Formats: sequence, structure tokens, C-alpha cells
Amino acid sequence: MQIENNKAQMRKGVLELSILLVLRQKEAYPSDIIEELKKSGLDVPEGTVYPILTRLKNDNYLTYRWEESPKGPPRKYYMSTEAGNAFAEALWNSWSELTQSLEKLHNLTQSK
Amino acid sequence: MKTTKNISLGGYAFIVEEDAYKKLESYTNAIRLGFANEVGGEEIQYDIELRIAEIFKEKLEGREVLNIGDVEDMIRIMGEPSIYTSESNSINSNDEESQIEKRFFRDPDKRVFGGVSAGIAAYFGIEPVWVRLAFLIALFGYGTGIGLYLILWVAIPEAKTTSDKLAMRGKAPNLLNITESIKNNKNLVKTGNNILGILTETLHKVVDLTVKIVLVIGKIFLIAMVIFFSMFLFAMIILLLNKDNLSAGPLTSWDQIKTFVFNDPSMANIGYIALLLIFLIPLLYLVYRTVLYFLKQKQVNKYISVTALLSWLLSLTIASYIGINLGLQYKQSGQTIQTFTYPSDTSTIFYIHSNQTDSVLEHVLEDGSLRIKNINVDIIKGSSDSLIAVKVIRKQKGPSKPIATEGAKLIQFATNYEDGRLYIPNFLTIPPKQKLRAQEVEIEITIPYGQSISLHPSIRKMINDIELDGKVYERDIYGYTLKMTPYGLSCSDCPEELFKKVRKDSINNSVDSIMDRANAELEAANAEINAEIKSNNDVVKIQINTK
Repeated sequence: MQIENNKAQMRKGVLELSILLVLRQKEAYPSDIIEELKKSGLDVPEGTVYPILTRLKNDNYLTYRWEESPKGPPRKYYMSTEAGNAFAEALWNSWSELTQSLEKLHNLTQSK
Repeated sequence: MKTTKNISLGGYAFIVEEDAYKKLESYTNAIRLGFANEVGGEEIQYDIELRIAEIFKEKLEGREVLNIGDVEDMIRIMGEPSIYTSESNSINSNDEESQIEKRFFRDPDKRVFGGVSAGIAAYFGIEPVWVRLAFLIALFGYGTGIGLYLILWVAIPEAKTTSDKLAMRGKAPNLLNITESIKNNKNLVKTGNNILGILTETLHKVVDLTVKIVLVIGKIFLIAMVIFFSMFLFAMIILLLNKDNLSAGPLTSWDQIKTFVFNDPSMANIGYIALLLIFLIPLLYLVYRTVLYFLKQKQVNKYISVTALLSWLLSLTIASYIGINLGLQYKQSGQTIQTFTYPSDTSTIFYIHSNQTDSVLEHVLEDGSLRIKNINVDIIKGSSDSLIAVKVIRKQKGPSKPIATEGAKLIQFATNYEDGRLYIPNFLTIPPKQKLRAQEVEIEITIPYGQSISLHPSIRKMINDIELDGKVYERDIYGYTLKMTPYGLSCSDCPEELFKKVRKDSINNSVDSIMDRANAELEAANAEINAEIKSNNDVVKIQINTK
């Protein structure tokens, strides 16, 4: 239970970066984003992405357009902006730093 | 067959089954609350609703009605709101608004025995272990800890609902706090199956049962009190309303009381109404509260309560004022004295008699005067003077001495002497327009030495004080001849057994007192002695057998 909780917290921490990375290449609507994340092994409930998308959009890192859907309500297709790409790059750098630091720490303590 | 509801979601209409609707509603409510404090929260909420609508559309595929399974599937896809709104959650719980006044509850989730310590700890925001420690320390003070704990266990209610539990920690019972609390609850470890656990369970049940019994007994007692009190009030009101049957001594109706007791009849009427209200107001108020109770109406009208209290106090004040005023009418006494003398003759008997005691009733006469039986006769030792003196003292009460004396003069009463016989009526008459103010006639008859008298049985009830030589009982002297001696009246023709009665009683009394003294001395001497005391005529034999 405890490990699941921590994993969820970690995933949540990198979710913004993950979404920005997905939207770097192509525009997508939330269900597509979830699919992409799943493919990479990041399994999150769909509800989780909606608040993040809106926040990123409000910070001008994303834009969107409406598209009619044959099945149901219209869909919001999100895409990354220039600022979004830069933000994703910065986030990626700090993530790399973090993983490197942790790897170092892990290696140092493992031998003892 | 199931009932359905129509809803609109993201611009689409859906038909939802009742149970599914409830689940969906709490889900959307949680989302709304979760994003309520966030900029752009409405947009997030709308986007989510759109997606939910899309999921439902896919799910239905030709079906008409959404069921609980559809909603559960949707939640599985979207995730619990608490997961993706938790960020705003933490902002929320720091809000001033979600803090409410804390209340004392017993905490059933963290309890060891009754959850008293945990409840106190939650209230003060400290660790329960400190409270438990305090109780343990108090245990050494002659076990006060246990007593105090049990009292608190019975007195403090258990936090049964989630909102109780939140109030216990001072949190507002909003949806976020509630979901949080339910989530936390799942992680709690319940009391196990060890001996302490079973003991605690049993103790818990016993205390719960005690609380229930005490509450039921208390309720029954309260109901009984209310019923008893209402009946008392009702009886008093009936008594007061039945004006014509009111009575006070010789006065047998409210009209008579008004005329003979009160100086001012209008005061009497005001006093009457005030007295009636003193009983009527509480009765009406009790009826009001009872009706509210049965209507399950918890809200008591403040104006009614305050008005009832104020008018009751007013009635009480008026009644007390009139009562005190009336009391002042009896403050002072006044009296007038008349003395009659008759020549003494040692060779004749001076007869004193009255009318038959029960032939006169205390009552209001047709002319408006009032007849009462309040005559007291004292027979006292005279000197060797040759006159029999009869002193007639008329007494009554009044607001002041002069008024009382003035009234006393008006008391109608007359003795009659004829042929060596003194007649004393056993009643006095208060003339019309006079008030009843404890009127009384006292008659002092002074008998010189050597004079013989005879008291007729009709005078017996009026005798207040009589000086006897103590050889016969006062109750036995009526009809016999009594001669005045320096030791008091002495019976000259009483039969021997009347004297014997007194002697026997006096011997018995002295034997008793000697026995008491002997016993006391023996006890003091710490000796065990069997004492036998025989009374034979006038001789007392005391035999003491030592062991």
C-alpha cells in the first residue's frame, strides 16, 4: 500500500513533463494522451490529466482547438506552444539532474 | 423495475437509474468541491464532464439507461476525484473556513476502553498517550482516575457519524473533509482478538447499556415529574376556579374571604387573578412544550418563553405584595380588659358552665356578623381575698396597636352570672363590617382560698390553664367539687380510683427514673447485676443481685 502510494506521488510529479513530451510531436486529445502514456508504461487515471492540461493551457504552455466527434461531444485537441517546448526542456533537465543524483546516491550506498 | 432520473451532462441528456444517479452525483459533487477554489476550476470541471459524457455515449451503444455498472466503469477510467484533486485539497484544509468550533466526543476509532482519552486528546490536539498517562497517574489517587473515566465515559457522547468525528477535531463537515476522514479510517487498526480486546468490548457494551438505561430512567423520571407537576397545577387551578367552595376557617366561600379577610375587595380580586396565573402560566407553558415535543419541533419560540416567564414573575410579585400587605394587618395586637367580681362563700359551690360545645357552629350570620369559637379560660389561684374575680380580655390583631385595640372593643361577648352559676358562652361574635383578625377572648377566673368550684363538662374544651394540686388528672375533674388551696385546686369528692391513677403513674415514673439511675451507675461500675423492682401499692422494693 505504502509503495503504491509513493509510486502514485512520483508519477504525479512527472505527469506535467510527460504530457508536455507527448504533445511536443503531435496534437492530441486527452484520451490519446492517456494512450500514449500507457504505451510508455505510465498508467494514470484519466481524470488526472484534465486539471494539468487546463493549468498548462492557462500558463500559455499549451493551446487547443475544438474538433467535432462523430460519437459524442466535441473534443479539445491540445498542442504545445514554443514556451511549452522550452518549459518541457527545462523540466527535462532538472529531471535528468535528479535521476543522476539519485543514481549516484544509490551506487554509493549499495556497496556497503 | 427501477426508477430513473434524467440528467444533463456536457450538453447531452442521459437517463440514469436511481442508484447509479446517487453515485454519479457524489462523484460530480466531489469534483466541483475539489476544484472550487482553483482558478480555471470551472473549465476543468467542464472538460471532465464532457469526457464523462463521451464515455457514457460509448458505453450505451444503443441502450437507453445508464446503470451503476456504467458509472463504476467511468470512475475506473477517470479515477477517484480525491486522487486528482488532492492538490487543491491541501489548500482547502488550511482554509480558515473549514475550521469550526471543536466539540467533545469520545473517539471510537482510537479507543482503548471507551475512547475518552482519545476524544480529549483530539479536542486539545495532542497525542492520546498523554491523556492516558494522566488517567493512569490519577489512578493512584485512591482510584479517582477510574471514577472520573467512567463518569466521562457515560457523560461524553460517542462520535458516531463522520461529521461528529470531524467536529471532534474542529473540522467543518464538508465533502472533502469527509472523504479524507473515510479514507483515513480504513487504515486504522481495530482492537484485536486478545484478552484486552475482549475485555474492552465487554466493558464497552456494559457502559453503552448503562448509558441507555440511565437515559431511559431519566426520561421516565422527567415524564413522571412533568405529569405530576401538571396534575398539581391543574388541581390548584380547579380549586381556585371553584370560588364558592373555597374555605378558610369559619369562612366558606370566596365572597366571605373577600369580605372578612381583605381590607379592599378589589385587592382581593387582583390577588385572586395573580394567584390563578401563578398556577395557570406554568401549566400552559408545559402544554406548549409537550405539544412541541410530540410534533418533534425542536425550535422553541423565544417570545413565548420570555413572555411566560415575565408574566409569571409579575403575577408572583403582585401576589406576594398583596400577601405581605395582608400579613401586615396581623402585625400588632390590641386588647381590652373587663373585670367582674362576685362574693366568695366557702360554704357554697361556684359553678362554671357553658353551652353544649357542638351546639354552636362557626359561621357568618345573616346580618353579616361572624361567629367564631375562640374562647380560652384560665383558672388561677387567688389570695385569701373574699372575691371571685372574672377578667374578660378581648384580643385581636391589626396593622397598629390602636386599630387592633379599637377592633377588640367591638368583639361581642358576654358572661352571665346567676345564683352562684357563671355562664361562659363558647363563641364570640365579630360585628358586621369588621375583619377577621385573629379575634380571641381570654377569661381569667381568680378563685380565693377556701372557695369550692365545680366545672361543668361543657367548659372542658375551653380550659387553657388550670392550677391543680396534682392529685387528680385535669381530664377527670369535670363535674366534681374542687376546693382552692395554697397548692392549687383540690378535689374533695373525687372517687378513690382517680387519686390512685395519679399515684400509680407517679410510682411507675419514679421506678423508671430509679431504674435509669441504677442502670447508669451499674454501667459506670462496669458490673453486671440483675435488678428486680417490684411495685406493691405505695411501696417500691428494689432487689439487686450481684453475680
